[in-house]
Parts: sequence; C-alpha cells; structure tokens
Amino acid sequence: MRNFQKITSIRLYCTKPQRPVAKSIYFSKCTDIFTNLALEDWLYKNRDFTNHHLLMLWRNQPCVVVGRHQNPWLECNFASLPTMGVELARRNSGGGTVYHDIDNLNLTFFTGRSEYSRRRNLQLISSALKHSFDISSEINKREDLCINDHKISGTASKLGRLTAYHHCTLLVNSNKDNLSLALKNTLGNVKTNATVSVKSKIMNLSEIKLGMSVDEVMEAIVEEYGQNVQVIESIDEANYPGVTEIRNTFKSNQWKYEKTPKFTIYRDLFDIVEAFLVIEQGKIVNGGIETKDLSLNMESNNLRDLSGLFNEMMGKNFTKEVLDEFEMVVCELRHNEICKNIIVNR
Amino acid sequence: MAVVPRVLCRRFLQNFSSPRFIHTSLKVYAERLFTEKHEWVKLDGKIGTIGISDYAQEALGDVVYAQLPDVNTEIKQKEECGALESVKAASEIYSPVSGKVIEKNEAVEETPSLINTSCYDKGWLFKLELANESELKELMTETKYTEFLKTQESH
Repeated sequence: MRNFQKITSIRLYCTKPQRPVAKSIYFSKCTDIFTNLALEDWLYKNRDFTNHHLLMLWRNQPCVVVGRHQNPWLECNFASLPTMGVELARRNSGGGTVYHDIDNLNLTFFTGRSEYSRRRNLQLISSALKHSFDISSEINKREDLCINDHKISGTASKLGRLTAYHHCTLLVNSNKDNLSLALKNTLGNVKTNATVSVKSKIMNLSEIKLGMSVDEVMEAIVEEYGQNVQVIESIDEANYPGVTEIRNTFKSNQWKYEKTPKFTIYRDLFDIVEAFLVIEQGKIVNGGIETKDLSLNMESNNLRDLSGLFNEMMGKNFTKEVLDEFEMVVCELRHNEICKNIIVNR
Repeated sequence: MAVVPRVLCRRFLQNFSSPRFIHTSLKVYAERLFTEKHEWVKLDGKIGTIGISDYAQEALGDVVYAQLPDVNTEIKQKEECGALESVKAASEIYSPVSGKVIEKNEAVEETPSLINTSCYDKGWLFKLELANESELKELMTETKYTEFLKTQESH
C-alpha cells in the first residue's frame, strides 16, 4: 500500500517526457484589457496546442483583473477606480486579483493539457532574468515568482479538456502607489465563498536594476524561449472570427459583476445585533437585522419591524450608491431607541 | 425530487424491455462509469449522477470553489459546464453524458472540499436526465478505468 501511494504521487506530479513541439511567440500591440482577454480566450477555444506551444506577450492600460470566482467589490477599491482611470475586468482563470499597467508585462503560456506546467514556465522567466540581467529569483510554494520573498509575478491558470494556459504578470516598473490604492478593500466585513486573494509583498524589477523597461524584459524572455516574435497588429474579426463577441462578454456588467458568488455584508449595530445585506448575482436579495444571541426574541423586541428599513434596497443592483444607502440605515439604527433597549433589557 | 428518478426508472424499463437490454443494464448500470478525462456517472434509471474520480481530485489539490451548472441547463457530452478552482487554476468540468440538469449539489457549492474528502459520495457534482443513453457505451467500467489508469502510468 505504501509503495502504491508513492508511485501514485510520482505519477501525478511529474511532467511527461519532452517531445519535439513547434513553438511561437505572439506580441499583442493592443493595450485594452478586454480585447487582450478576448484574444487569449479566442486562442484557447480555437487553436490546438498539442503539437504547437504558444507564448503570448501582452500589456494593458491601468486595470484591476479579478479571478474567475472572485468578488470585485471585495477585491478592489471599486468606487475609486473610475476616478483613477482604472478599468475593472474579470478573467477566465482561477486565482487572485492583480493590477496591470503599461509597465507590467503579461505572459500567457498555451500548451496541450498534458504538457501544462506552471513551474516550467516560471523557470523560463527566472532563467531569462538570470541570463540577461543576473537577477536571481525563486519560485515559491504558491508558484509565484519572488525575489527575497517579494512577489514580482502573480500566476493563474485555466485547464480545459485538451488545452491549458498559464498566465502571469511580471512587475517591471508598475506604479506601486496606484496598485495599492486600486487593490484596497473598502467593503468591510463580508462573508463569502468566493476565492479570496492572498495579500503579498510585491516589488518591481526596476528596484533591482534601475531604469529597467518592459521592452528589455521582453527581449530577454524572447531569447530564452528561442523563437521569433510575431506582432499582432490588430485583433479583428477578419483574423479572429468571433473575437468581438468574446470581448463584449468580458466588458459586460453581467460577466464583471453578476458572476460574483453570493455574499453577505455585515455591520455591527450593538454587541449582539447586526445588520446584513445579501447580494446574489449582483443584486440585493435580502437584508435586515439579526442577533448573534439566538435566545433573543426578534418579535418581542420589535426587531422584525426595523428590518423593513431595508425593503427599499431589494432587487436593486449592488452599487456604491446602494452601499451608501445601507450604511445610512445602519447609522440610523445605531441611534434607534428599540435597538438601544435590547441592550438594557438583556 | 426523490420521486422523479423512480418514475423515470419505471418508464425507462418499459421502453426498453427486451431481455438483452435488461440483462446488460442490470450488470452495467449498477456501478459507476468513467471517462478518460476522469469524470464518472452513476445511473438510477434515466437519471445520472456526475462526479470526478479519486485520481482527478488528487491531481487537482484542494478545491476551493465549485461552479456547478444550474438546474434546467441542457448539457452536451464533452462540453464545458462548470469549473472547479484549486491552487489558482480553474479546471473546466465536462459532462460524460448529455442531458438536462435536474439537481446540483449545493453542499459542494457551500463546502467544495467535499470533492476531495468524498469524491464518490458526498462530493458528487450534479444530476441530469440523460438525453442519449447510447453515449454510455463509450464509457469505461470501474475495472476498465483502473486498467486505463495503469496504462497512463506507464507512459
């Protein structure tokens, strides 16, 4: 039995022996997050990578990209993004939230499902940094690329039946202040099943080598990958039929917001009483007051009546305005006599 | 919900009452059938319960989120119909058979780790009403699937 387990684990985690495959590199000239995500998804859906691996290099104007099963309201400073000029997008792969800007390089490694190996791809980046700039980096347990425990790259992937891709960011000279501000959580106490990002210390490659540019890093990676770069001038229907529809989906509120797993916001009113708001598919579906003390009778304390204050919000799309409305009701309740009496009567 | 399978089961047997069919159905349908992509289906009349194999759950690692198909969704065999997230990877779920979803496992949505701890029992993913029983012929019995895993290992 012991032996069998050992064999199983080796089988699961070793990659297949290398066989000769063709390789290509694409560089997308486009810097619109939705178009680039659409190209990535189009390639995943329409190309066969079993005998031909592809590395796609791309970058974007400032944006926050949440994982497929994440909550954008929880993961970023959603109310401030428009004033900061930062787009919000949801990608198709798992994992946590990242910030992109033009001084961050994104890499997508497309392979057949059985050749998928995040570690091998990260090793390639690490080798490129070593060979071209003498920068030492290591791959940590969560398969992120780090320098002295500071992340320089965040990883995520999507695995299909025959095709898989692994994509990652590479912080070259990103605006760290904007990154921190854009990823700040302003939603407060929330209960959810959604994937929650793991906060990490980050750094730019330019902190190691002053003045480092994305172009230089790209050159190093291209050299390591060993192929010529094909520049994608425009991502249009003529070359990628159906790509517009994919882009429209990525850009839609339905994909960005309504795909968010159900969540509940809590606000303490008094020590045992709290207000809550339930959001499902981006809409308010429930709200009210509950107590953490089950022996407390909601009816006799007229708590049930107060829950009526939330009726106005039901069915509305969850937005900054609705959140403000909720906070105002919470504020009102904190000064409410019925609520105060509960404490006295206990 | 529990009534549905029994009713359908009776109708199913009436429709295909040739002795040969019953013989095979009793023999084959009593156990799980597997795909080469490590999904399983277990039949109760015309209702199939779908899940992933022990091999698949071990390869995935800790599942942290399960996105399952909604009730009434029409699913085609080998088409994407949901996703399981583990260690920053979203792995697409494919159905071994076509049909209409009649139930999804809400316990798994609530506690995705059930897929790791009980992939053949509490960690089932969804149930569907089969649209085309002939698709079952492509699937492997548990014995054949075990053999298949061994051939994968030697590659």
